[in-house]
Amino acid sequence: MDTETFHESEDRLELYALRRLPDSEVEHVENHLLVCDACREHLEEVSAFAFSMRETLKGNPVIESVVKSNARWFEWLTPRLGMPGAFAAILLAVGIYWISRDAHILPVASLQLTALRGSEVKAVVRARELDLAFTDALAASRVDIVDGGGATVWTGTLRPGAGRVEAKISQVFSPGDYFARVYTAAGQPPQEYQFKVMK
Amino acid sequence: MTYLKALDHVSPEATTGAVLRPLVTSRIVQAEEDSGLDRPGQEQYKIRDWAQIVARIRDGDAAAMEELYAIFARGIRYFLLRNLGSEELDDRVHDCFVIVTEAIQNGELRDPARLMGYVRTVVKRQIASAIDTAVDQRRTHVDYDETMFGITDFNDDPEQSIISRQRSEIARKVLLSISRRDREILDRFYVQEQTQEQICDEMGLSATQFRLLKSRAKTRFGNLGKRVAKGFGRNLLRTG
Repeated sequence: MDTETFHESEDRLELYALRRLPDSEVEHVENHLLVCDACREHLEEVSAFAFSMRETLKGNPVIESVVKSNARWFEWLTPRLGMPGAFAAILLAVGIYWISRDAHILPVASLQLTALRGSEVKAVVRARELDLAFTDALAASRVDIVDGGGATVWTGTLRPGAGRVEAKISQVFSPGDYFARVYTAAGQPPQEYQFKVMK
Repeated sequence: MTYLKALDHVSPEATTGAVLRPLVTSRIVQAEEDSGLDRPGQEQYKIRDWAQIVARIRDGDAAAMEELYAIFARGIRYFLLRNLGSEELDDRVHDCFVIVTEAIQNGELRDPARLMGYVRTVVKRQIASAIDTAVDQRRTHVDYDETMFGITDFNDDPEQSIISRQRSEIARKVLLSISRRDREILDRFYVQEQTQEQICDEMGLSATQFRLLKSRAKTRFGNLGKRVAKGFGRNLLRTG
């Protein structure tokens, strides 16, 4: 097919408008433009876009810098990696939070309790491990820890320690009032010790 | 680079017309592969038998001259208008045709296949001549007649300025709506004047991806432009 049968391509018209078409092709394009209304019309559209883009990109360093700085901050949120990346980051943060909350941040706390009702309530900070020492209880006694509402939150056995009996509780208690109920003998009412877990 | 604006004096036969050949009369060719062929609203491109037209003009056929005028008038007007503005436009178009028809009748155009190239050369000469005249007159009359010739009038047209500002604003919105990478591609092409091949090579793009990006940006530019033209421009340009 003869080359004269083709209209000019958009790429060539654009390069012509931008004066970047090789010299060897300019004459052909201009000859065609002399006789082709459609290509002249298209040249106007193409050149309007090309010149506007060029002038705007050249003359708006503010836009460029604003856009670039914004883009830098949110670059990781580009569609290709954005959503999986964000999801992974959230999961990681939540995981670290839970692990840290239960295992690393909280301290080990100890508390010495006496079975004197009405006396000052002992308080302890929230801890990942709580050592309770009983000055007047017997070893091997069962001990229940109940919360302020009466619900049992821990059950165990007292063990002998240095001049005392104790319970090592590897459980994190929420802040609030608690009672340690020590059952010394069958049929006997338990001895009750109160303590408070602070935030 | 030799564009219409930068012209010199060339004889009719010096216009190479390398791609022109005698063609079949009234043959209408359908668009096939070239991307320019699916142009919306385009008319089918008619292939002319230049030899026949030239022969008829040489024989003094008035209808052939009318035909020649119908083929080239709009194209000649377009280039003259773009380069010289609207002043004396009709006279200049007429002058071009007088030169072309006289050259044909005097037998200066020996190869009819080069008619298009010759017309182009004549237009280039007219533009150069007008620019030379304007520069000369400006040099001579600079003290009392700065604007006697309309070369700058076309570019300084207030309407053109408004259109240009609107286009810049639309372009700004288009640029803000695309990614940094896409903007970099456009910047490389339009500002840094890198070639498509270089950009694709350095940025790991295929030619299709490159074209697609430009095409999308152009479409958005065109759509926003249409909205402005329909009267939504005030809000569009204010709010974005």
